[in-house]
Amino acid sequence: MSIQNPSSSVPLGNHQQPADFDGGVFTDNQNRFPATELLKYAGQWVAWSLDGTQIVASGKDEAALLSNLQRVGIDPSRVVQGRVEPMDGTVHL
Amino acid sequence: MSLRFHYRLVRTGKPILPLGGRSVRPRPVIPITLIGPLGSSVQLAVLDPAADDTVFSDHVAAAIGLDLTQAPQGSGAGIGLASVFLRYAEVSLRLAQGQERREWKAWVGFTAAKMLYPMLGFAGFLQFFDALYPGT
Repeated sequence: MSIQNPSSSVPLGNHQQPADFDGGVFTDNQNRFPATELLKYAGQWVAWSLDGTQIVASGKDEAALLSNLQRVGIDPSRVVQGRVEPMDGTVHL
Repeated sequence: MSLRFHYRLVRTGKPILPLGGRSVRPRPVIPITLIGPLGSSVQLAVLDPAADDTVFSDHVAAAIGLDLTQAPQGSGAGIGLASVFLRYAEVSLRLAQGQERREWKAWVGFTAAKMLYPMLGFAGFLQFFDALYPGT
């Protein structure tokens, strides 16, 4: 999908974001992540590396994920957080 | 210039009848950064043109240092029409793809309710953008 902002009222900026983060690269790499490996995390919340190639921590919910990140010393702002959908065929409405 | 993201491909493990038997569902999920007073958080969120607001979990608010105790309040409902409690705060949001960067301030909702994904709705996100969803 593509997203454009035609409005000049939306400011551009570069500060604070990890300089190496590219959401497009992240998504492409995430889509290439092995299905058999991802299945181990079905239904859990995970932290992806910024390039989308690895899962670096997980938890049964967001609170557990953040706790686990803290426990292993990973800066939560240096990962991408999201839920792994269970492969149960549930339809999103 | 555009920011282009491929759909997140979600494997279902069994054929999807309405999609002709394929076993992968495309979801318009993108990584977006929220920036608050004490930090930032990159979240996978779904672009939802039917959502009125942009909504994340309370955990994200805490992680970026937002104090929601005096925040404006509201409520929302989705499938099943169950009402959820929302608290609103102004944050900075950022998208990055290739050499393109967009950053803007927006009011977003936060909730303790469980969500499949954080939602990028009209207020806070789509009000600022034109979005194209090509078929795959």
